[in-house]
Amino acid sequence: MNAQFKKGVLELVVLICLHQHDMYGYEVVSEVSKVIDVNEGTIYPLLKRLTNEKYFETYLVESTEGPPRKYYHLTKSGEIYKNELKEEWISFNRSVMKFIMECDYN
Amino acid sequence: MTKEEFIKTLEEKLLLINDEERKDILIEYEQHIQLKIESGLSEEQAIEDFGDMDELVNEILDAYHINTDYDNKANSKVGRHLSYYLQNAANFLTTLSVSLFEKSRQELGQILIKFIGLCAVIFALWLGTELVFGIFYSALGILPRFLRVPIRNIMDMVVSLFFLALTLYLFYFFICRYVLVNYKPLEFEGNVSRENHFDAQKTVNAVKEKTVDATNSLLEYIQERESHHRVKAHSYSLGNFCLSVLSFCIKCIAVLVLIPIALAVLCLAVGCGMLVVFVFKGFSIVGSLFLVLGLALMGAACFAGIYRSVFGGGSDR
Repeated sequence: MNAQFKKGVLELVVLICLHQHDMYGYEVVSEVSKVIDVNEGTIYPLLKRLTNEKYFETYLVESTEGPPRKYYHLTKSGEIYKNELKEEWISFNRSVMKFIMECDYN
Repeated sequence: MTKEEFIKTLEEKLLLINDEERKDILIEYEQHIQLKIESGLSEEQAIEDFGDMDELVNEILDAYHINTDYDNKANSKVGRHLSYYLQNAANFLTTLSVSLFEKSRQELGQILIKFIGLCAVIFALWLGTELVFGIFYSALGILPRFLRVPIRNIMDMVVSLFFLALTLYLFYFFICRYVLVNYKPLEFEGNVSRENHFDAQKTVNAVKEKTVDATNSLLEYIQERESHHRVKAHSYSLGNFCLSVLSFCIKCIAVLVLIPIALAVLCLAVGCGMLVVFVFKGFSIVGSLFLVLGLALMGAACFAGIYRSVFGGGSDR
């Protein structure tokens, strides 16, 4: 898949994943990987950036093995942002699909 | 690449990010690799899934809005040297002032005498060179003018620079020999990569420490002086006399030079301000210029008046 496509939609997919329930980094990566074939390393910086922009909150949970895990939680503003992004994506997708169909018929 | 190697390389490349954040990121990546290994992948494979290291670093820095085109290698090298020299210079000056405050009046007088001796030696050297060069220049008279003038100028410059360097070196040597007996310059940490990025911080801390030291010893010195005054244990040595002469001269200079200069500067500043205003208001520039000249003359008159009153009063008595 085109790398630019992935880059654009990755943010939306991450936001939707975390809308379901809180997750720690690795969980997010494996969830997202099911949808998009993406370089795992790029998700952490994205989580970081969205946290800096206050779309996520983080908290630590002790784990039985290894260091404590950092969980990400979608904030209110994160949810608004997610909905905006989703609407944009859907309408964008729709118009592109429409265009493709029209061109195919002609 | 092993996990440790990967984390270490990543850490080195993320030095621009602050300590806490960087630690955070590294923990995340470490955990990720650990979990991948637990899910059955080899260490090698888990790390390969991250793809190209530089691309990853760019992504991370991008998330912090850091411009990834920034060439931090070249900059850090220059910065390291610069901060080393600045640190050293600051260290030298503060150590010097601290130790000057710690010296007693007698010691200061002795140092002053030695210093005057040093200045005399430098002056004698300079006089000698000037003499030799004067003879040399008159010998140059046989050359045509277009050759003579540049040669003379270049040699003048070289001699001046040489004397500047010599004087600075001698002063440094003198201070190390007589004032700071055990002074050692800081060592340059050339191949430490991590700490150097925070050199600026270190310099600030070092200067702060020194300043506190200096203030403390200044306070101690003042207390000590006050107690000396009470005891009135004055010893009229040559050094003491020199010191008094020097402080008297400084006071005279302050009176004679600073007040007139302040007045003249004030007049000039007012004049320049008025010039700007007048020009913007559309007055003729010649007229405004005369006004400013008048104010400058007024400044000069103030200077002359004070000069004459101080010196005239002196001769009357």
